Amino acid sequence: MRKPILLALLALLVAIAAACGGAQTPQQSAAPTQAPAPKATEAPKPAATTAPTQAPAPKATEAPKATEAPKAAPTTAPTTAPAVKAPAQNIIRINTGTYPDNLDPQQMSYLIEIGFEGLLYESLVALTPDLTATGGAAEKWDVSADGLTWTFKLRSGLKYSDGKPLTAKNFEYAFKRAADPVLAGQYQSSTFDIEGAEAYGTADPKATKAEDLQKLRDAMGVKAVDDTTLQIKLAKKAAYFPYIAYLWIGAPVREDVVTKGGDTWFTKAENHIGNGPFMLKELKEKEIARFVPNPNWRGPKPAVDEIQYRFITDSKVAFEAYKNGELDIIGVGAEDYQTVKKDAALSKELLEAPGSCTTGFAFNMTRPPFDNRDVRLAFAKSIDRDAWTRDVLQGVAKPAISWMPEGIPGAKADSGAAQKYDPTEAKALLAKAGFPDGKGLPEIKLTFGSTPRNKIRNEFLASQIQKSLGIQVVLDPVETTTLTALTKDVKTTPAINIAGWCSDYPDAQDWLTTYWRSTAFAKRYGYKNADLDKLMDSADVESDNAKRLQMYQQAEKIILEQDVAYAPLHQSITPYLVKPYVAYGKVTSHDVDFPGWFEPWKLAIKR
Amino acid sequence: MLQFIIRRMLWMIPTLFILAWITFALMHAAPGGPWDTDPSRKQLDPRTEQQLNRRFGLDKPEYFNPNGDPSRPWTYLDSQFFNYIFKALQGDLGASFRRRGQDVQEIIGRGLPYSARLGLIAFAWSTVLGLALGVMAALNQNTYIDYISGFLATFLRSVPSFVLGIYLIIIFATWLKLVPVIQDNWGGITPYILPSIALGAPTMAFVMRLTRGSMLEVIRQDYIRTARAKGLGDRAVIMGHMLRNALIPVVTILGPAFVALVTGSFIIENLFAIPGIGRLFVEAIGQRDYPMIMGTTLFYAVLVAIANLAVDVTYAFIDPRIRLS
Repeated sequence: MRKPILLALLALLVAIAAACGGAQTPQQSAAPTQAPAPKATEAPKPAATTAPTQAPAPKATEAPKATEAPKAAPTTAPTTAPAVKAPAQNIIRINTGTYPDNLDPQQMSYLIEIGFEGLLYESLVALTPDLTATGGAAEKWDVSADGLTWTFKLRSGLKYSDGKPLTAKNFEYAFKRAADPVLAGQYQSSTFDIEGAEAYGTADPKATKAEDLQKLRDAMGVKAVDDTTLQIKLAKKAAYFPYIAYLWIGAPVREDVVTKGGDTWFTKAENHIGNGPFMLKELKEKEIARFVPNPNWRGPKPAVDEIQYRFITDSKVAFEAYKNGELDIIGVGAEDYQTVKKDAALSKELLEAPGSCTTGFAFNMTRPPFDNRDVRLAFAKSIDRDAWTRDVLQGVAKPAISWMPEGIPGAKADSGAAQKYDPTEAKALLAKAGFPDGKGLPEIKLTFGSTPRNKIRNEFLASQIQKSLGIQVVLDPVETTTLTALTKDVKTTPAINIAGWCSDYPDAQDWLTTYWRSTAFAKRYGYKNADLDKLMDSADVESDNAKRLQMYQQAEKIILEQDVAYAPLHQSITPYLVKPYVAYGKVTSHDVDFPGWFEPWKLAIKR
Repeated sequence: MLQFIIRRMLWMIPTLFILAWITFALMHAAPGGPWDTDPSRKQLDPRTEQQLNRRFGLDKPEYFNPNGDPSRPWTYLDSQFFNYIFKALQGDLGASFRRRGQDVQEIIGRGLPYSARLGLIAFAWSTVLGLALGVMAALNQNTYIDYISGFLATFLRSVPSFVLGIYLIIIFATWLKLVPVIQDNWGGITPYILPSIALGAPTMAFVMRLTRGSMLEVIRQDYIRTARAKGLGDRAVIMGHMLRNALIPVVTILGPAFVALVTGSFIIENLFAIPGIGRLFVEAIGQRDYPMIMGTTLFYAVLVAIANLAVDVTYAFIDPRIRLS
């Protein structure tokens, strides 16, 4: 009886001794140890729920962090020699992090969810890798002279993955379902530009009779004129409408499948009968999603036999799996980024894609001292953004003084040039505002979403403000969901907090009107500029695209330079590790789960 | 005995009710609601939010409905809390807000087999090894066996499971290549070995120290001397007299430990990408997914209550002095 126990004990000791040995070296280079951050897993996208100060790390990298184990592995054993030999099968394995909770296109809102939609379905409009709108399921579209009636002409001979024909009726169903008052998807309001959609979408389903509800649904301005013509009537002019028609909420899900499958239809792989380049072969919750080419896809034939999505939420584990040759593409966690950069072999596999998020200071413009433009500008000019992105965000972000990130048509990197780092001028501005050297200022709290990592990061910002302006700001970490709740009302919005925005779709309208109109987000910050509203409203309906973008650029200048309603600090970078044998399409700032997401058929194993 | 069990089961009802109430109150006291999610993304349109509140009954008052109809007094209870309780009594824990359309009991039911299997394996090895090492350490007090196992216990108890977990992965998957980092198939026992080591280690250490301590206490009792004086062999004295008495404090912690292991661990499931239920509760809190928070809390509470009952019943078998009545 005793011997086996002793043996087991011995074996265990050996294992632990080995673990300790391994633990020694890594700790030397250890960056701040992370405590488990529960909200982490819900962060499905760069810099999202994990609060904006995070250097946007791709997907759910924010899971509990151990010490920096893998970090030092390459330094001790120079190359863990990633298997560069291409695998025998034409399968690409991608880690996408958190498992998506909702795979119903009309209810989707998170990037990890949308990552599925783009492979399985195609909306009327598609985006080119330059992020401009182009024909998707619709070959072309016409706009009536008054800009209200949009007629989409579908390509002929479109088919679903099961071989049944895809007609304009299917799209009519999709748009009506997107506005459905019972379903109430996160992006329901995006359909409200369509005539009658708001009346239908906001009707109380419990208080309204079924036939009245049906009437409202029928009255919605979406109509299949014939099998290949879809007519959409808008309630107001919207020059950006092609981008709305591109959104995932316009994915032609099949009525028969949805009706039969009920509330949870989307949880079964076989129910995703779509018109995208791929179809879902297998879907195992939190384990794996397997996509295979859709034989009825209208476009170029995919070069791989299968794409696999994996759902590993701990970036360190994904990194181990990648080095071990079990994954072909992963997002790099912020804490592994420097390791990768310093490693001779891995740094060659690093791909730094531009991201689609901007993070910075948002001011409550009703609260002193931030009701004063000069104070806001002084704060904006007090941060050395180069040091911030280089030393604190470890290079997983780009310094920014513009609101729209690179890649959005119309974005200009210098649109907030007046906010450039300049401590001398910042000090002068503060004096001009009546607070020389910060005298007479109330206590200022810098509010941010609390994670251990954010705390360290914001200490840097506080020290910069202290250095440039001589003001001691107090750090005020707040649980992320609580912070969101606080910023819902200008009365509770913190005086200065770290906030940001990520693209819904790559159009300037989503960055300007959606955020800065005085009835939208700007309201939460007590920002109201009637001229700006007017300018953005007229841009929204301007049909000349060049002129339209110019107007948005002008609006951005007003926000950043004239009114200083926001102080951008950095824009996200999405670092991937891609095995050298993997080929992919053009990288964009709006890729979702892998580089070249807009051309998934180009994913390939190089032979 | 049966009477005791039935009485204890009945006591669970008010316990669960009060627990549900406290959970409900705390959850609603936390700022932010289920539709407040990502501060840097498009926020839910207030019109859509209203529809969602209607769909999930959040447009009702929390406890008491002042718009009730006096002729039908139960309508005063047409509120979020009591509607939840009434539905729960019928075995319906409601639909998750985040996993829209999916029932809470279904979600728990899907993940439970994975967590339970992992937990059972962890529980099995950690109690068996913990007991064995504890007994050995006590019998060989102040020898190298005692010191080594003492060191081991302190070590395993103090190393966080995510640290132990990641090193297990690096050693056994990356270096030795005995197992893959990513498990393809969660059937069988093999894929659970590494996670169960990381999961069970602290329990093992705890059981061991506790066993050692209570054994040492028992060893010096008069009845042990009596047993030896009677001429009983080592085996009979240790198993029949020492361990049996020393087990009582150990058994007390085994109930809750069992439940804690079987209901999964956020950290371990996250690390090893196990599709279990350990992550549900923690995620639900961040997401303010009310039905999910309530459902997982109640589920856990029921399991704890049953485990404690089982522990009490076990006492009667171990210690004849304890009579359940």
